[in-house]
Amino acid sequence: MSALRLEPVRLLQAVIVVFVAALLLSEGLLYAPGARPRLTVEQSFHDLGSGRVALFTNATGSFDANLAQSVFAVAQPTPPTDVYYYYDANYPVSFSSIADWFGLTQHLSVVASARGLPFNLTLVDAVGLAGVLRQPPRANTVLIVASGVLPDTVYTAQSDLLAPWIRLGGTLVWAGDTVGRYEGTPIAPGATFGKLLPVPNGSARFLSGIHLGGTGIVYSNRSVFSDAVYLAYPYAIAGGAFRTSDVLAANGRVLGFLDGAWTNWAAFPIGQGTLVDLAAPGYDVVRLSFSLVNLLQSGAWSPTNTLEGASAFSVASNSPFSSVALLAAPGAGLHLCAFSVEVDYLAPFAARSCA
Amino acid sequence: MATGSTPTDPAPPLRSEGRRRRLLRAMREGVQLSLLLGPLERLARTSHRRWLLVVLLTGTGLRLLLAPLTSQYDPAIFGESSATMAMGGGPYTYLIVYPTDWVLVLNLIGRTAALFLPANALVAAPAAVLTLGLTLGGLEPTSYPVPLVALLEKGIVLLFDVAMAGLLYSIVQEWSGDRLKARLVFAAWFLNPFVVIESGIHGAFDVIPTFFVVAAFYLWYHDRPLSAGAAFGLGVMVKVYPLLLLPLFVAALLARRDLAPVRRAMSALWFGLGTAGIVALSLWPPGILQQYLQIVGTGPSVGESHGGFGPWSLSAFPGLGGWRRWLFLNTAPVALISAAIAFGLVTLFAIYYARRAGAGNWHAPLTYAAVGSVFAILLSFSVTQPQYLLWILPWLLLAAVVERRFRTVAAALTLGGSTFYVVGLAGPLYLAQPTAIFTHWISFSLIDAAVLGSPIYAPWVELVTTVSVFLLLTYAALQALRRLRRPTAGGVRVAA
Repeated sequence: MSALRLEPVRLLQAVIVVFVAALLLSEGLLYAPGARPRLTVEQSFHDLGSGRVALFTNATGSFDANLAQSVFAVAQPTPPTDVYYYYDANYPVSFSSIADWFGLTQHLSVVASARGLPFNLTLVDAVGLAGVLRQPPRANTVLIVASGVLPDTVYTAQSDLLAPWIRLGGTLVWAGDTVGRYEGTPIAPGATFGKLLPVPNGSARFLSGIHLGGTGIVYSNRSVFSDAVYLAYPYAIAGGAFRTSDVLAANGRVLGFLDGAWTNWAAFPIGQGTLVDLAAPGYDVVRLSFSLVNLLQSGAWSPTNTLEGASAFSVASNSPFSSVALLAAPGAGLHLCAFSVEVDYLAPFAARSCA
Repeated sequence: MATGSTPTDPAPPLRSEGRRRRLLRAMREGVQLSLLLGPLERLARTSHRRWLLVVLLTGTGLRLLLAPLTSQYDPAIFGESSATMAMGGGPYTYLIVYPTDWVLVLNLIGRTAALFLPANALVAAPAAVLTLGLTLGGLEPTSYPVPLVALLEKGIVLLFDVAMAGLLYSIVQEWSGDRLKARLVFAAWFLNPFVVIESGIHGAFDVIPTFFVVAAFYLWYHDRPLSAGAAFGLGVMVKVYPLLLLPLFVAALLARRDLAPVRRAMSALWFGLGTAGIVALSLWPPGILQQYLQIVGTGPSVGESHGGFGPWSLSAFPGLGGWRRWLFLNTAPVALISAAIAFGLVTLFAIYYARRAGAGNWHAPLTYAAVGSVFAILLSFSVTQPQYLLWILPWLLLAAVVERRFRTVAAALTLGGSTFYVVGLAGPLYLAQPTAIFTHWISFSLIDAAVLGSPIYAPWVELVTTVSVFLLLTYAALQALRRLRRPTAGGVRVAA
């Protein structure tokens, strides 16, 4: 204390200098070339002839990382570039909240940007959504509805713009309450929220023949697809999960976590399009944003895309990874795409390469 | 800080003293017990070395014991940001609403922790945490920082707690010449239960920008304008609130009537350079400012709750869901209006401060002006959590050197802030919930469920605590304004 009493000004200046030095050090670690933690995965396909293809993978990194790699045979090698996101604060939500519903858009943008993905994220309100659904679905376009409720501009007990749009080839990614269960009305003057009007047999328009059930709200077991593409969203709505046998019987794909006979995430073919349905609350926007970007970047949610292989590997600063995988050549009109993603929570890395 | 009497040994009442006065005195002395003023006074009269050892060891030991074992929503966010950067993410790859300098500190924490643990193990997110969160009605937090990360982050906060205590000591020593009072202020900060909870358990870093604000004034009045400007800049770049105190710094410049105009102008220039240097140092990476402004302008999940100590706390009242919704949808313009109101009120205090302060008697006017100004900020904004009370506490402790009534205010604020922490903000008990994760044999989930399950207890406790603290701070600010308006020759005498 005698030092403090004698030289408080000098001590304060020293504190400032030390703090500034710490900030400079941090900036160096963040921005200086070679100082920031890095992870690189190079994936390349080589045609070996005789119906065989080799996938070469080389991974190096400056920190310990766990990755999952999946190879899909896809008809469309380019992942979606245009993403429509329905958000309208005048309309209600179910198994979500206004803050999370809006916040998800920010997290999606940031994760996509961190990976250098050319996502064009466009917010559409209830009227804009109707405009999108009145147009034929475009290739490389995905519609995300994370409110758990469809607005009455596109869906009522008497009308439905969404199911026909999917049948024509559209891809809908859904999160929240059971799809089609409610029609949402806008907020009336003086009211706090819009109304949720149950639509009789509404969910059957999208989930015909699919039993809903399950009692858990957090699942622990991953499906093959969830492991392969790292869809790390374990939440579920009690009573709203899909029976896995029904999903498979409908030529769908189990995407998410499993709890006995139930799964919280599945893709269903509807006409020429796909419904990717996450029967879970949209509260955890961090995990949801990573999972959704992984899903979109992999480009492989459609049940018509086949999973040709999946593996897991690790990289450490003094331990790079290399592998060669032999795969069957894809059928005519199909492309092999490899998707590698770091499976550690919050890790931003992923890479995709197609033959 | 009282000399000659302690809360445990009150002076006998005069025969003519009414019952009301006796009751008020007993209440005041009882409240002062919450600051342990009696034992502190006895300790402060011991040798310098012994006093320092006891206070530092006690305060540090408490914090270090609590730090790795506890967490809260904010440290979970800090840990997640640190972990993301340690795995190659940029400063705002993980969305976080703090200015760049705090994010840079988090980067250092993550990179330091990654020397001892794999980067992918800096936060833990077991399914049990997620289930607990969903069960309690909201996912906060969905992970917790591992003990090493919690310790590193709270260790930095601890260092600034020590620095703040030392700075307050220096100010009081200089102001009053009384080492006893200086020691008491040191201990009143460093052993303050509210500060210990905030530093050791919550891990909020509000002491850092507050320290830099106090340091900036101290350096200014010791003719170090460049350092003062740098300190101010650091305060702003760690947490934005010091920017609203700019009128006070302008007033401090105007109050230096002892300086020739040219010298005053040069001092202002150096101050500006110091601030600009820090801002430039923080914002030079291309795109960083745009990223930050976008986040803070729209704010991930902001507007979800508007409570705290200002009029916005009314929006937490049961049944006012519509108002909260309106606030969420208009967060950015509301924040701008709040800033304008705060700025105006701070300017009012700054005007009185400029009139009263001089080179030799700056302590009291600055203290009163700061009490009123920080209260104005708390009043104007949708303050949501108790850690913001830390902004005003050092000024209240300094004011307590001058007047006893401010001792009572400081003590009551300590009680109120601590209560707010312990009983939670109408939601999960911040202390209890994450502790249940670190120590599996302690389960507070039943308590949490009971709190949340009660539609009366949870919201009413928040509301009553909020209103009480708000009234208390209003009283303090009005008293501060009254003293600022009172013309005083030769400065304010320190109370015996």
